[in-house]
Amino acid sequence: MKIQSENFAKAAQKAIADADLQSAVSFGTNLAYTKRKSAVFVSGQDHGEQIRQQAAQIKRHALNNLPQLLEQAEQQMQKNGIKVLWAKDAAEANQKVLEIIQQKQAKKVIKSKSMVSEEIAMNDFLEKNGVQVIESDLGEYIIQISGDHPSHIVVPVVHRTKASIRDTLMQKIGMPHTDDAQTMTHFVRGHLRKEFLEADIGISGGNFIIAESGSLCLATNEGNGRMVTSLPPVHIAVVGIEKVIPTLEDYATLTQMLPRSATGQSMAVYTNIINGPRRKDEEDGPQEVYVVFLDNGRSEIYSSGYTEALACIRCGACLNACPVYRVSGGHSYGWVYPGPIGAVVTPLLVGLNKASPLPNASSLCGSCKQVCPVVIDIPRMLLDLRHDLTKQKKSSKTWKIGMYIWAKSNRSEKWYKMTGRLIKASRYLPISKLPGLLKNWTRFREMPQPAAKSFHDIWQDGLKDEDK
Amino acid sequence: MSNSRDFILNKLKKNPAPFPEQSKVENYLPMVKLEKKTPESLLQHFKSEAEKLSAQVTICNSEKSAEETFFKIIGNEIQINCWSAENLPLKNFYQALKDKGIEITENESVRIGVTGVNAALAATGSIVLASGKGRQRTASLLPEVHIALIKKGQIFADFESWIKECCKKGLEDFTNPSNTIVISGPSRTADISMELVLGMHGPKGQYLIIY
Ligand code: SF4
Repeated sequence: MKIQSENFAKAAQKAIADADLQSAVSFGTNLAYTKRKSAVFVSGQDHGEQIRQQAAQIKRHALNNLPQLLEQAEQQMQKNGIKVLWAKDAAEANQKVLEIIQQKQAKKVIKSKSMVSEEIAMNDFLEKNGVQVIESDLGEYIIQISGDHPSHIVVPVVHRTKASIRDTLMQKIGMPHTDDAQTMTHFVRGHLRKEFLEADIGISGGNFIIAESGSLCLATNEGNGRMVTSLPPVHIAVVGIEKVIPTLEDYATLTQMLPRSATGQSMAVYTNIINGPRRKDEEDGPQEVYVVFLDNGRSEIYSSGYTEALACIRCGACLNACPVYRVSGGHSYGWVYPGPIGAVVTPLLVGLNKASPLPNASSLCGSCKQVCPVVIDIPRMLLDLRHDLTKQKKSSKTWKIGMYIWAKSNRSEKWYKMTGRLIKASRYLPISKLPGLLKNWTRFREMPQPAAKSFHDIWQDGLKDEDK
Repeated sequence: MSNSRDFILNKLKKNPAPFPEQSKVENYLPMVKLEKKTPESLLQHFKSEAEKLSAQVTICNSEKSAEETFFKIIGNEIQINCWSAENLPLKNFYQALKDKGIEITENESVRIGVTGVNAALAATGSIVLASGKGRQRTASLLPEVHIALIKKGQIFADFESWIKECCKKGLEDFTNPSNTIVISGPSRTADISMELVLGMHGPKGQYLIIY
């Protein structure tokens, strides 16, 4: 996927003007936000907070031991009959997947939802190499047949209305006219069932890897995750190296926090623990299972001041809580990972120079940190990224001049008072819009009238009163 | 191949632990605090949680009534995708199927799938199914309706207590089955305008018979 994060402001403006998108996104995010609360705090506020701290500790402890856990996971997985491959970057991962496909002489690949595969643009690569790739998550499937991109990491089509989805399904796969979501869903069920039974290879991502048992864990609701990992003769999973956790007990906490934070469900419908290919006496399941451990910039993040970002379990709660995401929608962020965590991860993975507006696409209100099941300090990282930007001199001239004047007037009493007086004087000017450079500040709002008395004046008056 | 492996691991190992203040969790809190854990209260809790997920739950007092409940649910269906006899908790079940002329097949078009369970989890209304000989995955996946036969003694308080039991039995035992699935209600999606629809790819209906 082409990186278009430099275009954030323009894309967000377009999204703000799109009434359909506004109503769809605000409805979707609000609903998930409310449902999350009752699910995470099912046993009370204090208990929920303690569980969040527990999940946070589990992930950080895991990251402390990341290389050792990866080695342990590899060893256990091999013992379970899983073939483990390693990939430094997107190109290597895609190449390795393609090699398996070619070796099996496979034609048709069916996929369950995976953000990592979006990250490495796997579909494009495989299709260019003559492989037919079919997405099977309903949202991802709609995205695929519309030539669109996901705008949310949990609900990929949150930006689309029912009517627009209906039109796509009618046009692309001949669905008869209906306005009923259930009829649409079941039509796609029938359509995709055939594909599942015909596919040569199933490709998935992974939510967790348990090191001590060598298990690959997935959480899905629709059942496509189970189909993809059960029906085709070969299953390939591409998983980021940060997904590995030490023990079954750690898994028990995290795999429950994930759906509670994501959609407010107490459990995903299918909490799937995969221990390898079908055993000798089993009737079904794939004959071969491959797991690709993907780095693609993660080891770089590991050694930076942003290691915390690797604790993310991709629940999407920070997207739903973010006032910026809620109005700008996911596409504005210009790459695979949107919202607050996307604003951190995108610059780290693709380079700050290709995503320079993102660290500023936040009001730093702190909602993201507050809802994050693993308590990632996203606002802190956004601030640090802004700092990095300034150090790289990536901020614009006007910005710098503005900041210079601001710093100057705040450092000297004389200048500070003078600016104060100037602003106070403007009280009597009939302006509601600011001119020139400051124009953008009042583009969507009125210029407020400055107060008759500054805080300093009031303070001084107060002191005089006390003297009396 | 080993090149990338060593490259990644060496790069990671060069760093000191990024969160030195964070150690292993000592006492894990469960996700849900259950007030009462008597068998009867767990049974009732399981039922009410499963029903919240749109499962149809019947609690029976004998094998006989469990069997009757089963035949009432399947109505006139004459084909089922069913786990093998030794994997189901009902002793005379296979004979009863034979008497009614019901055929057992893994054909994709079969509408009813029948399984036992390894465990049921009260806190979340979930059932746990491990793969194995005579325990095909398709039975709980492809048919439109999934019927699970559960013994009262198989009900655990929650996911955590089931995991604890697994740890006790050992990792070998845990990884023996190629796949263990924890199912919570029928397949669902809300991708189209956040409207909940049951039966996206997996079963549209889930019946739990407990006895
Ligand atoms: S940063 Fe936290 S809230 Fe956001 S997706 Fe990741 S885990 Fe969820």
